[in-house]
Amino acid sequence: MMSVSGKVFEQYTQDVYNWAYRLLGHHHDALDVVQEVFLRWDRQCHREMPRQPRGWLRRVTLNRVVDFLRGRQSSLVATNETQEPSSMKVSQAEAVDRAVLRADIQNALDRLTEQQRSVLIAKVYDEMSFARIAEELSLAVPTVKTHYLRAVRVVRDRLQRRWAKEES
Amino acid sequence: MMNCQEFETLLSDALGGELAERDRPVFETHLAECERCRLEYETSRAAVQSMRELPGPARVAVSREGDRLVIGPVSQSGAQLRQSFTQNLLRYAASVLIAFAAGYLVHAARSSGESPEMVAQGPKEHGHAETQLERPRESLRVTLAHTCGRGRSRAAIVSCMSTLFSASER
Repeated sequence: MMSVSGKVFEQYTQDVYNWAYRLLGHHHDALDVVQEVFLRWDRQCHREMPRQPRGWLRRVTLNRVVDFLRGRQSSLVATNETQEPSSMKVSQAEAVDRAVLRADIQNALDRLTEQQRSVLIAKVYDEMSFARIAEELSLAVPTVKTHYLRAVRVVRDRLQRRWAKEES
Repeated sequence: MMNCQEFETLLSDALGGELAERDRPVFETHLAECERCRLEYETSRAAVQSMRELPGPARVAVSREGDRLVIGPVSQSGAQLRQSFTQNLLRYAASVLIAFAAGYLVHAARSSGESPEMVAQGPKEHGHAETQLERPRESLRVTLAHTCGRGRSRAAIVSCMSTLFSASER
């Protein structure tokens, strides 16, 4: 029989996979992250079940993604985008563009605090309201807005370097 | 009139798609008047847009095997399963027809004194040898057209084989 914590995790597995996949761009890497997050979740639940499971899982997933990227270091650009699911096949040029974009976003995420990362991903990819994010992260709404603005600026500053290069 | 500091308090709302209707006129007025804030807004909005351009993943199916979670490709929908069944049926029919045709060809070759291998490669004078090595299905189709039947029956076989091959190659 699966434990209660296992059942809760099952409910959010797709979310964990989605966050990891979108930021890593690679199915198997995303699965590795899902597995690690599940192990951490299981350990956490032995102590205490998080009150906001989805918020807890998002935060831990993003941390694992960043750790994963730090471990992987370079060689992100050309290698991983060729392994998109068949339903998303794109041209080589598009794949390289996406890989560069993803690398920029990964770099920016690495510069954010844990809370800024969570707020950014919750807003941009999960399309949650500031109020809902605040509730999930147990923060005040103005704090969430400040985190979001700060996070967007970090991403923007990173992307602007590329935009400037493309223009020149 | 709004100053730049006040504008900043609305900027996260605007970038997060939560700018209240009552704040919109004053926000837009400031954008039109302040080049610096307009640039700030435009570039930040472009950054958010760029993030959204990263493709999301395909859906995965999460299932349980005892106490383990299994993540795999999403199971096919009913329509996909039906389509897949039809394709498999056509493939099976094509296989049966090919086996039958091959038997017929061997038999025809023996009757005409050719070796079976030569029949599988097709008549050399028609110049199909290279194609046959690379594309065996195509070569079999060509060989059938040459060897089997004549007139209407031959056309019918070729047409039938073409349909089956194209279905099985899909």
